[in-house]
Amino acid sequence: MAERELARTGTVWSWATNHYEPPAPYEPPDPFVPYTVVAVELDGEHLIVLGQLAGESDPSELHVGAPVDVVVETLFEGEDGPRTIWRFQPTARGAR
Amino acid sequence: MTEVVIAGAGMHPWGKWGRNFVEYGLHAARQALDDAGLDWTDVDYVVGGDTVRNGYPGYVAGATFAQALGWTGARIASCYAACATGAMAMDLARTRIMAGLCEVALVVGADTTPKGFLAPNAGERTDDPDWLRFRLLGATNPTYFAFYARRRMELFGATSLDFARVKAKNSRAGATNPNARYRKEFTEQDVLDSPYVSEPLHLLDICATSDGGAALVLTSKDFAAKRDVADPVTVAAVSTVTPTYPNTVIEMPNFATDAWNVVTPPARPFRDDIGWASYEQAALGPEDIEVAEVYDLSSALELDWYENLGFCGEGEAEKLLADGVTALGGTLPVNPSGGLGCFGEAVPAQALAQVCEITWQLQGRAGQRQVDHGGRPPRAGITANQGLFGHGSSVILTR
Repeated sequence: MAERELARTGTVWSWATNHYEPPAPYEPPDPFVPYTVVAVELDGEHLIVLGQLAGESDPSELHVGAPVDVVVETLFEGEDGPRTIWRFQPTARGAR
Repeated sequence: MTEVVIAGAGMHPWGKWGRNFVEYGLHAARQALDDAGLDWTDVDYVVGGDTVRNGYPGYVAGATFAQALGWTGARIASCYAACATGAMAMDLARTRIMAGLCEVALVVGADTTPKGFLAPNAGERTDDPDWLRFRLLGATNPTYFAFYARRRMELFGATSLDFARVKAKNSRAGATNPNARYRKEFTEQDVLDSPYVSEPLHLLDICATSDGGAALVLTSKDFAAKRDVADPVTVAAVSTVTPTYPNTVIEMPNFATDAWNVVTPPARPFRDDIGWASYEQAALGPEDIEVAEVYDLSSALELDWYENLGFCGEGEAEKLLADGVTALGGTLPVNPSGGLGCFGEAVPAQALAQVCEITWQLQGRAGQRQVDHGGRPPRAGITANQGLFGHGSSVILTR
C-alpha cells in the first residue's frame, strides 16, 4: 500500500446547512453560526469526501456539479500552534 | 426447512417517559407473550436488542430482559446493529428456530434516549469515525439525511413541499395509533413553517429520538399449530445484508465513500440490495407487496425507499406520493403506523416496531389505520431500514 495525494479540486455531490448547534465533541463558535457540510466528488478520484464549506463562502451558490477547491483552514488553536483541516471553497472554474 | 411464524407482537407506547428501558422492554415482552397465548416459561431463547445509551444492562440486553422476566435457564443472545438491531435480533431467533435448536424465541428491544441530537460516546476518541465526524465536521445525523434530500431536489426536481407531504400523510395515519408519540395531524404548511434543522430539511421533516419498546414471539409453524396460536403470520424473509465494495454513497458515520477507481461498483447499490435480498428470500417482488413500513428518519428518505424497494422507478417517488398510492386508501400504503415521524426513534426497538405494525396489518387488527385491499387485510408486507456502519434490515411477512 502506498500513500498518494488526492486531487485538490472537485465537484459538489450534495450539501447541508446546519442551523442548530451540534452536540459535543463539536466545538462551535460563540455565538453559534449556521455552517454547511459539503459532499464533494474529487476530480479523477472516483471518491466522495465530506468537508465543511470554507469560511466566507455562500451556500446559496452551491449546486450539484459546482466546482470547488480544497483549502486548508484552522480548526482550532492547539497548545503547539493551529490545528488545520481541509475545507471546500466554490471556485470560478466552469462547471462540468 | 422449518417455517417460522410470528405468534405474538407487543409494544410499549413511544414517548419521552424518562424511565428505565427495561420497563418498556418488559411491558412489550409480556404483551407479545399474551398476544401469542404463551407463557414466559415456554420461551427457550431470548434475543435482546442492545441499547448503547443505558450502561452495562443495555450492552447485555438479552440477559437483562431474561433476568427481569425471571431466570428460566433459556439460552440468550444480545446484539447491536444500530437502527437495524431489531432485524438482526429477529434473524438470530429465526435461524435458531430453523436449525431446530429452539421452538419459541422472544425478541425484545427497548431504549431510553436523551433529548436532542444523537451524539457519539463521550471521551477523546480520535480513532472513532463516529466521534470524528462530530468533532471535525459537525456532521450530525440530519446532515446525512439532508444530503439525500438535496440530491432529490437537484436530480429529480423534488421540493420542500414534496417532503412536507410525506410528513402530513404519515401524521394523518399515526394520529389514531395508540403507540405513537406524536398523534397530531400536521399540514404541509406546518412542516414548511417549522425551522430548518439541516437545510433543506425542516424540524418537522426529521424524526425525534424517543423512549419505547417492542417485542415479538417467534415460533416454528409446527409449534404454533400444536399450541393453537391464533392467526400466526409467516416470516417469509429477513434481510441483514451489508454493502458490497465499493459503496459509492456517503453514509453515516463515514467521511468518505469507498473509491470506485479500481473495482466496478455493484449493479445494485446498498440500499437497493437490502430489499432485493428480502424479495429473493421470500420469492416475492415489489408487485406482491400490499403494505410497507420504511425508515423515515427524514420525510425525504421515505421517498428514497419507494425507489430502493422497487415501488417505482428512480425519480418517480414524488409522483407516487402525490397520486396517493402510498397513503391509507391507496394501493400500497407506506408507514400506516405513522412511521418515525409519529414515533421518533427508539433505536433497538424501531425495526421490531415496524414488524409489529406489519403483523397487525396482515391480521386485520390495526384499527382505524387498517390497510384495506377491497375488503380484506393486506397479504404481504415489507419493512426496510438501514443502521449506521453498514447494517441492512428488511423483513417480509405474509399470510
